[in-house]
Amino acid sequence: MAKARISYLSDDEKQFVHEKTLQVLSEVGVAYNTPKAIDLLEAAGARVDRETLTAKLTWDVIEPALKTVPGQVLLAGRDPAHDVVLGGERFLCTSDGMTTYWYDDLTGERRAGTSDDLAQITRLCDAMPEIDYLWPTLQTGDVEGELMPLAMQAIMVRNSLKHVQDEVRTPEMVGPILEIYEAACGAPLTERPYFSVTNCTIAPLQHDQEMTEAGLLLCKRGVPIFVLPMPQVGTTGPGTVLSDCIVNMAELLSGIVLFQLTNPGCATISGIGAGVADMRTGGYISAGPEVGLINMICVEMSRFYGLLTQATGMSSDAKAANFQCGSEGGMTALVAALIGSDSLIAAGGFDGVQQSSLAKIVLDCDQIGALRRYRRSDAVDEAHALIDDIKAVGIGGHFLGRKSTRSFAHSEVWRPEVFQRGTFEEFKDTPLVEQAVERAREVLAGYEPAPLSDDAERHIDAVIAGYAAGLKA
Amino acid sequence: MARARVRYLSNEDRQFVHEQTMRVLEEIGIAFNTEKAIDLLERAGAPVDRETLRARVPRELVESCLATVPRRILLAGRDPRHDRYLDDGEPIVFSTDGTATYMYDDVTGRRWEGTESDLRDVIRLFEGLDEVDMNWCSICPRDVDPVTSGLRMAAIGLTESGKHLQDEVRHPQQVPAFVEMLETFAGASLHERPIYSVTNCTIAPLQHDREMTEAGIELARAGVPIFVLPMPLMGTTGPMSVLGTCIVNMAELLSAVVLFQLAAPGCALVSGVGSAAAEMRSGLYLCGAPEVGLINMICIEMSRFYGLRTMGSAISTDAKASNLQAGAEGMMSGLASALAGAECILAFGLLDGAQAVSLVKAVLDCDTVGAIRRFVRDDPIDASTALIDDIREVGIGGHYLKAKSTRRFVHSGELWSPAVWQRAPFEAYAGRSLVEDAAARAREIIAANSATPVEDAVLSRVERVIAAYRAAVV
Repeated sequence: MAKARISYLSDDEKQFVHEKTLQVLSEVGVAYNTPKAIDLLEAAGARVDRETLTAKLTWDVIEPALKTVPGQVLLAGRDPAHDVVLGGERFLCTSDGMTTYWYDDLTGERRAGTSDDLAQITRLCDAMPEIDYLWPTLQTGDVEGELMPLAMQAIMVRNSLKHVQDEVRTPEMVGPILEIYEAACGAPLTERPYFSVTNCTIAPLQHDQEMTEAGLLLCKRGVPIFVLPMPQVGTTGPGTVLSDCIVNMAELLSGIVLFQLTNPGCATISGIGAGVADMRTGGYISAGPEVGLINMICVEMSRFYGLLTQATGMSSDAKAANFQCGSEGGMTALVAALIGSDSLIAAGGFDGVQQSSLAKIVLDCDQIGALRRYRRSDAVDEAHALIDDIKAVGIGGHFLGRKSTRSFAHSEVWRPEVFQRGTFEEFKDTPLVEQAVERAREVLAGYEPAPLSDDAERHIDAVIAGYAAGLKA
Repeated sequence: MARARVRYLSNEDRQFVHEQTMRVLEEIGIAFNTEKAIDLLERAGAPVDRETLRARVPRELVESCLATVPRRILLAGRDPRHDRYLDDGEPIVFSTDGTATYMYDDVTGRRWEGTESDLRDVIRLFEGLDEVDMNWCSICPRDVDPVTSGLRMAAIGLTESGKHLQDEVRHPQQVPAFVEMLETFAGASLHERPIYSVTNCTIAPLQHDREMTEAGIELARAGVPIFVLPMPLMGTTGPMSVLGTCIVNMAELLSAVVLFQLAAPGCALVSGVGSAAAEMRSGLYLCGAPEVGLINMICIEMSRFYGLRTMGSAISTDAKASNLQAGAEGMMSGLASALAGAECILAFGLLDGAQAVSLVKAVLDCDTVGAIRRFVRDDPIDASTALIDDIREVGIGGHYLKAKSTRRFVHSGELWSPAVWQRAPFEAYAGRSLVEDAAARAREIIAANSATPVEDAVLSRVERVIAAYRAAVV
């Protein structure tokens, strides 16, 4: 079977990056910022500093941790029909998030996202078959800050059947959030891992105390942890793609070690969030060739360590769902698909992941379809090469009437839902964005995820009310 | 040094494709459609049929002809500062594309049949866009004299730009006029200064175009590089599989290698990939499909296996305007060709299955090309780029903004910046669209009209050549 696969680093170069990553971990170290982590690491043989809550890690601490990381991870849906396996055959794609703004593709205006917007976009992502699991795409600007995380989880489970991934920022949030998910799917997360988290490190070389302490609780509750370093070249990361990747990998391994020591065998995945800073403004650049290169190096190095990966992504810095979106997203997404990433943060984000829109979701789904065609394995044999047809048609003949043309037409040529392929006249009055918005509306009109049970609804409401009451108290 | 490369076929797969391609050439054969080719093949020992003008091509002949194709190919510019080479270690040569019937205005949505004035604007734009290495006459003007249109288009292409020009020459009787005109522009023989190359399109499945081939033979003998461009379409003129269509592509390509190397041993020849898919409701050509990216990958891999330089066709789209689909399709197939190792890639400016040219698209494609160039650049993976000393110095929780290495690497091109794509905050654009920004840039560049002017004496002689050709034909 042939399949398109990119390679970048030679074996010697991978060894070099590995050694440099270890050098950073053993000579510079990482700030874990929580005594809980320091206790575990000291017990495992790392050199720790209890005053600064930092640790220096060596290979004899890291290697055993890598050995207990599972090679496949179930990402369960609320409905088992939507279960997906990370590390299985399928290249998984998630919606992107969390954006701040809802962008109107038709007017070009944008405004802060609301709960209704999140509900709508979640239903849309849930209905689109190209999307496998969900990030909450929009923040709910109409919900009070401290309640927003819970409110957003409730919106997710009420409006979708697919697996959800989000972040949990504080240990206090762990209980209520997991209660929402377990109520929604009617089973403990250890059996049905319906929810996973990103654990974002803080570049350079630091863990977020509260998020990490939350992570320690989460990994014991069956929640897969996607460690997501985000050093930016030139600001929180050093000034080259390679060195930024080394910082990414150091932070990643420090997270993997911590969670494996906490709960050996828990699902931990390499998320790749490293990016680039705009050197005039210090702003975040979410796309571009360097992000593609960072994805390549970090995916290759993660695979070197036997880790599953989630690459970033099909995002763009464009201000609308336009040419730049397609080109920027196309580069990083194709690279991620062909370097062998297990999953991709894909649909819906642009303007540096600050905004999302209906058209972007729909158009990204066609791009995902194209990516999967690029990545597919195909047989290389006479049957697939249609040698008999080439012989039968011969010189100057035609393949249109051949049986194989009919029988291979659907499997061999991918068809988009919205990307325009007919004549100019067919589409001249229907700009692509308008067509995409129309499709989004059709999909939404025809889709309603199965409701939660009344008990689950009441349980979720009670969790949120209880948490709100606790805040007031 | 690391450089990203994509690979599709294993070594065994490659051998399979090679074997099947040889079987097509040896057992089915090729319609060369010209006695000139049949004479050459018969002399070289190939079994021929003079009645049908077909030949079967033995693999030994293919191998011996492959051995005479040059590995380093000069694509000269009328202006030598635009010279480019296809060779190991040379940057990818990005060419414009063609040949479209319509111009499309992304700002108004209007489409019209292109004119000579449009062609001049298009070529002026290409001259001013630094990412463009060489030109095609992307638009076929409807208002030029049809008798001399090929010559006229080439003259415009070489007047309005100093870059290398590629086009097709369809009739052998045009060749002497072309050669004279081109050598007038070059001020030298085309063997020394090949300022023009041609595409030689085979006709799928497994045929050569008589007149274009006869023209190609004479042009190859005059020093004009030949870019062979097979174009089987999956499901119509090619079988309904990516793999099968690639085999037909490679068989046609290798038959052309044999033909041209027998006609002009050592002539510059490049493997172009023109195969694509057909939209099965309408039979229309689909150039933005992922299958086209895969076809490019496979044919480029196989061409490299044969030691040939390649041209991927590439940054193209079926989109009707410069929209998300256009960006996505073009980037994915362009990147696929670049990663497969193509030395030359068709890009810039075409929409709707190569039926329309958009100035806006040409500008936006430049940022796609710039991003690809940065992506495929060889970068060192060593202490100089690992910056361990800086990582140690900045340490935990520090900041790299003031590090000397940050300034040094930013200035030396570590981070690519687009010319037009929008990266500033949302408010900075005050609703100004990307298309409008690109259109403004196109207008500026066209107005600047930056090509090195052609001397009047050269232009006069060119006009006399065109007039003489017309008089001889009419």
